Amino acid sequence: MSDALSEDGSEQNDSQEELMTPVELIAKLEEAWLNEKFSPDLLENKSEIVECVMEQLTHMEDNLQRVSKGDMKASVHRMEIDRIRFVLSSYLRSRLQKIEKFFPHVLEKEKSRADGDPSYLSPEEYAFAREYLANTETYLKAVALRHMPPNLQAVDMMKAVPEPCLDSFVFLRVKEQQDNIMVEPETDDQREYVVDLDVGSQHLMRYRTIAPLVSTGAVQLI
Amino acid sequence: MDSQSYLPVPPGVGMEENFLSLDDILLSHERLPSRTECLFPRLGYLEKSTDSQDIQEGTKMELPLWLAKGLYERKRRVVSIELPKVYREGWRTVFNADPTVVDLHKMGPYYYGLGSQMLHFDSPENPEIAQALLQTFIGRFRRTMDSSQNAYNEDTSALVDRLDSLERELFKLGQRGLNSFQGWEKGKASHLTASALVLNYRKRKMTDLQA
Repeated sequence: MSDALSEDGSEQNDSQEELMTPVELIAKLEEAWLNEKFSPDLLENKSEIVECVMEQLTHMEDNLQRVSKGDMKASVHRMEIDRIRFVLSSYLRSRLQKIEKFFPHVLEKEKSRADGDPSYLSPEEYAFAREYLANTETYLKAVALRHMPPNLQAVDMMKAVPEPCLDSFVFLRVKEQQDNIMVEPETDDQREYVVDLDVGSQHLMRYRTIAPLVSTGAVQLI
Repeated sequence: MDSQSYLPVPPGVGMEENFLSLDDILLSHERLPSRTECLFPRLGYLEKSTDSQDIQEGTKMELPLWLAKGLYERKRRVVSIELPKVYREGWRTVFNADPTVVDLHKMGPYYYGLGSQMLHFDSPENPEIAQALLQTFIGRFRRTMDSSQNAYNEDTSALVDRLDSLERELFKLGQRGLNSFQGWEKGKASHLTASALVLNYRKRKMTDLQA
């Protein structure tokens, strides 16, 4: 990580209580990015990380303006800024893709969560999902439903759009020791059995079994 | 990563069908031999072979899947569905013997999809049908994966001929992966190309101007 430019970054971020070095911040962003890419379902919204990274990027760009031109380090730092920007936009892009794919279920989940839980969608993503739903309904109505007999003119979006498949298999690496994870049987001859997950081991499992562990950060999808 | 500009809805997994998936809509047009169990008054005009006003009980007809699924009830008062011959005992032994030789495209292009939907109709052979479908897929998968990952820049019609549409999708995915990897090795990844959506839009506008 850049040494000359990181001094400004290690000052306290206003939006968080604890001190986090830029290295840790970028590591967290990469973790969130990989988890989002490989999980079949939309994960929690990590807007704090996104905001901090945006601040860092603007900081670094300002510093780069001040540095003398033609300096070798400047181009390396610029490459780094581009890389971080790519990771960030890839993260946001995979979230948007999942929202587009599963829009009625995402909106339903958002409506039914309790007030204390962290939200799955940032305010902008929520507005996007609502607009997408409205646009799809208008489109289906204008193209097809208008011409149907009156009692068939409604389409239930929750049933029409397929749900995220929580049973898909994912690769994962364990970061914190977990004991007694119950694994469902695959075929009729097996019974359900219990596995212990050791730190640093890698597994291939159904997403449903380890979904709560991903949100707490105990495992990392790879 | 998908380089398409829109995401088509994939066909449903297992016994479900996705409402908006084009593959599932085409699948539901497959015809099944069936027998009516009760009288359908005044629908005789649908049945070309007899001239009566109504469809009598016990007439053998070919119904499309969407109609059969809608009319089927557990108490079997309305229609009873027979299995098409590809899912019956005879063909099941053939699949058991050697799944890779069979031309699945000829057996109905949606072999796996239709087979999964047949499980809705509560036939006593359901577990065997399900097992046969699974084992056929497992047997054929290795060859499909192998051929899709190693056929670069050649005519693949001979390989794709005998595959059913699910396997063809997998084959296409494999080919796309192979082509993107080769493109990356050649350094084409940094080469910017116009999106397919933009090209098509531009072509359409030109034909509008010329017309």
